[in-house]
Amino acid sequence: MNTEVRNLSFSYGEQPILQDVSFCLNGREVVSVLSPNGGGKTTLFRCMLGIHRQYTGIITYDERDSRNLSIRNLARYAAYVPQSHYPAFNYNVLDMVLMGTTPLLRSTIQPGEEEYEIAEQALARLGISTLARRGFIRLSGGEQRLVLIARALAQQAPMIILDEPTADLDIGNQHLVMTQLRRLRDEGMTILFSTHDPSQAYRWSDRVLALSEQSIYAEGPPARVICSPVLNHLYHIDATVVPLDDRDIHIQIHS
Amino acid sequence: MSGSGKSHKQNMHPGRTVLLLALLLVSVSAASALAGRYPLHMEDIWTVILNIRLPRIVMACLAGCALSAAGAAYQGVFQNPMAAPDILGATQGAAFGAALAILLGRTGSVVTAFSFTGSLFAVALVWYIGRKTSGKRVLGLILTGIMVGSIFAAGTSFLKLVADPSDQLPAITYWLMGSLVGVGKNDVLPAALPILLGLFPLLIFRWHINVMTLGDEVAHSLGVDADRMRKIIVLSSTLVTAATVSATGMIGWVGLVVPHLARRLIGNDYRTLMPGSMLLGALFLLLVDDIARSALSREIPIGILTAFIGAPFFLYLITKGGEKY
Repeated sequence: MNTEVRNLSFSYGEQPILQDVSFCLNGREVVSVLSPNGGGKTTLFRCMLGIHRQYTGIITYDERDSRNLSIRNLARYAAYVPQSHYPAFNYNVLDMVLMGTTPLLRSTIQPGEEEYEIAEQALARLGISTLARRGFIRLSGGEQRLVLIARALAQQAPMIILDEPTADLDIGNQHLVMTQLRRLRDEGMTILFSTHDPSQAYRWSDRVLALSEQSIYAEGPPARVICSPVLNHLYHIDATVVPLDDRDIHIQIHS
Repeated sequence: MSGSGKSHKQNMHPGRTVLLLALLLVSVSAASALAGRYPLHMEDIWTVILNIRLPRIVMACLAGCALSAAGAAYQGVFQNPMAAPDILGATQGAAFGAALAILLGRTGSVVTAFSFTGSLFAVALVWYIGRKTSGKRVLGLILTGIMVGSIFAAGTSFLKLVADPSDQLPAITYWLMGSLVGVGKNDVLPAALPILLGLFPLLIFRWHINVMTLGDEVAHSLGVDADRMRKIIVLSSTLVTAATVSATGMIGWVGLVVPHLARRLIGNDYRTLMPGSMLLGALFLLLVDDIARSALSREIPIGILTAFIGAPFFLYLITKGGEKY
């Protein structure tokens, strides 16, 4: 699937959040959005998901203007994994993933056999079928994140947008989640995720969008974007990026 | 709610529990028709059952069902386990309407009509003001509901102050306690129609209420228009609450306690929780009403009993531990 964001601008009242943001996603790639706090990545995601609709510019999925898509149809193009959230009520994992099939329901008012199969397949794809009967609230942070990714898979959308998917995870779980996302890319999906960790963006993404002061400051492969000048501009620091190999970097911050 | 969680018990067959509740409700209804303070004589048995007991049984079931369904629905679309049918001011509006009608010297169905209108008006006001609040939509609505509710409560207090203390004041006070005394054949249909009309969407959209519990943003990303869905659910819940409260007066606690008990028995999945809450609510209020009309020599208003039974029971539920929800 081709996703295009063209001249996207958004403001809350007088305050501009995004200004003239343009980029393309071509499918089968992992793209990270690197931005300082308040850099506009959450707003960008909300516009792409159709939660905010009062933007200017155009967002298209396979040449279809997302503004003309209903909320339900939009959910079939892009799935969303929110930042860790503590649900008001506990659901078991299978039901949680089953909720991902909601946009697939046509005339029926609740999921049927077909949707159960989709949900079970989603769990199997992430290797967490054994969690199906467990309560979501009682899972570890890493397991919860995988369940939410499974829910996104059950939506059967070609793209998953993840808001800081590993923010509250230990490095073991971070690795697990990122490995799974890379696998989904290999299966043809588009993965768009935000992160505050340049090393993570460097290691795991095919492309990096560096968002700063409402617009895209740099875009390209990690080795080109994650360099001292860009990080210094983004985070207002004085740092040197030292590449260790093609996967890892060391960021030296001079005080 | 509770921190300690020894048991991971989960009802593996929530559907069977719902079926069991349905069977239980049918048998308790039948038993209730035969139970009463006064012994039945053969010659008037059908008159008593059809004209006196049956309308009251039906009304108790409808009221319990409606309040529990509304409570469960509000808890879902407001992502808040403490939500009850009065969260948007429906009961306070109803109370004000009823008190106003009594103050104007009206009785019977006029009081009901005033009360029904007051209830709908209060919620409409909350909805209208709540949409203008800045920040989170859900929080704005809840806060507006509390404020508007307390304005109507103050209004009711004022009406009590100016009411004639010899007849109007006791009438208002008695109405506020909530009671099924004197519910007759002709009272059931006007209440039943709006209740059934409102219960229907709550059943139809029960899967979508599940999605709504995840929050507006996630619901949206799952293809559900959260604002529109909340509007449908709030409208339906308000209709059943207004119809119930205007017919029976203030029957508290049912709408909070029953959905929580149902969550314990059945789980949080609204596909079974919604019908389960409806049946359990009907069963609960029917049993409480049986106690109210048969157990003691003087009939106790049912609103007092639901508070006496409901509140301690709720405390028991939240301190008992078990599955966190």
